[in-house]
Amino acid sequence: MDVFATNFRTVDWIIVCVYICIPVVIGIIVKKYIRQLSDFIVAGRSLKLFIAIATLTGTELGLVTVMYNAELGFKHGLSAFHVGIIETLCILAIGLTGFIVYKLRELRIMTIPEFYEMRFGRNVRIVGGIILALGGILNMGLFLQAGARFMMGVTGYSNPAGLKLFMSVMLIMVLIYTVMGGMVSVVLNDFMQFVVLSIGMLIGSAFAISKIGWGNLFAAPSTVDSATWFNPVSEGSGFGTIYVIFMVVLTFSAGALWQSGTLRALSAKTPKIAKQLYAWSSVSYLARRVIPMLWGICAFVFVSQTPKLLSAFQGPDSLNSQFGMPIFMAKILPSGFLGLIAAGMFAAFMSTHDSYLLSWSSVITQDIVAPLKRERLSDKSRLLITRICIVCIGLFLLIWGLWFEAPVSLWNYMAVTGTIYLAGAFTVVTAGLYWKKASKTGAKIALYAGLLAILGIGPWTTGENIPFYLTDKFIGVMTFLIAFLGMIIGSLLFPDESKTEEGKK
Amino acid sequence: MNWGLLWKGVLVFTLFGYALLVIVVIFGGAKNIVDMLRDLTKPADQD
Repeated sequence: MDVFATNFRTVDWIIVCVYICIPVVIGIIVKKYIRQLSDFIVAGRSLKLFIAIATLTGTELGLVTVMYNAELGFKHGLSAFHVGIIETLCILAIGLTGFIVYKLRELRIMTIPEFYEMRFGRNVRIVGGIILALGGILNMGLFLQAGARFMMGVTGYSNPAGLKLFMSVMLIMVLIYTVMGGMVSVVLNDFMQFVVLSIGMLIGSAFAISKIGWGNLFAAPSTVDSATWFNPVSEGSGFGTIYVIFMVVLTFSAGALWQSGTLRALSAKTPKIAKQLYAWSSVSYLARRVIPMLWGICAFVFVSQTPKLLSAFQGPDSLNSQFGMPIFMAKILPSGFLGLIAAGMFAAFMSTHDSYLLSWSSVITQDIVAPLKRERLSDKSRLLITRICIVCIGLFLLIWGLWFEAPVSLWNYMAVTGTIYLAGAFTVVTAGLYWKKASKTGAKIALYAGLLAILGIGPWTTGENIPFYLTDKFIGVMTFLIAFLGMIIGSLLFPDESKTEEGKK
Repeated sequence: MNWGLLWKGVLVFTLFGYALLVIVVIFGGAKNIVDMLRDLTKPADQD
């Protein structure tokens, strides 16, 4: 069997091409609704519950999400499901308690660093804004690459140059409709993409399960150790206890404070809807993990039963494990439906890109450029700067995403670059909202501590038998711990002056 | 601990739970979009 053999035909290309033009048309149509900055960034804070769920899912279920979760399933089997369970419980806990998101929505802010200024002053906002933009933009740096690999696997077109060109064209289309329609355009496209992608994913799962067989899915293939296939904390599983702890702190903090997701809570019509949004979305957070992992698991079972495919994924010149799922889907889905799945995945690619572009560009405008200017920037100037930032980030992504190869796996890269921002942000926002003694110095130490996470994508994290303290998961956990301790010690040793004076009085 | 049974339960819950959520969101979301566009055409607030 040819490794890149596929059922993708001309009709599938037509479906994909027609589908990806729709968002651009929507962007042009809704431009008339954008009259002020809050319309552009938080859709005028007009989102009701169900549309908020659709747009949150549309954002957090991107092509890159499907790729890294499928890769986890392909490499680790059913034990990968634990990441989905942890994330779902964290999101549900946030939804039931309203932890962080309820109070942030009450404050009517548009970005997280806006809260830093409200609580700790302008300098902390600028530092926080720079670190957030840095972590966020680096985090989306490999989206294009993952998208190109998906396309290669599904279409069977193995010339990387042509596919990179195709992905670049798609990025340009995202730029056009995001620059024009802002959050209103993003919300409408997210809804459409939620519908197409969700139905496609459910039907795709039915095909995958029927191909492999329900019984075979829960029996470890002969090529892997049975214990590691099921148990995430067993020795040799590739996860372990430290990894599980890292996932708990990472997914909890990301659930509450990942700017693109939190932006949906801040766009909600009321704080109560912001809270409900998280409780309901816990199911879609579970689906965004488990369904792609299921595809990856089915792909591995399929590959392990096909000697030619198995040999392609083994040895020194083996294919990247990200190819496992798309190659499998390209062989089992019928033409026509494969085009619909590919269109749904492109939709996911676009819906994630648009939200992330909007998130990081609004952070640069609101939290870095505007606070640095002495005179107040008008809404018109801010809109212009935000739109220019969207284009600049897009150009950066083209260069970084198409030519940079990460030394670690896709999910590990995402987790570590996310930690750059999250370790500091989670500590600073939590302390700022719930601890009166939290000070500016403590906040700055916590934010700077997040930069330690960059060590987690260094070349020393790869290879066999590396000591535990050099692994990305250990560096990730320690970054959170150092940020947390930095906030406590910094606040106790260097309290804010106003509070010290109040204490003396 | 029976990991196989646990993951089987997780998979079944995910597929059925998500299918139900998708149906609810499609109908509820369409109505929400109409309301959102109506809100955005009202006079601007002071944000």
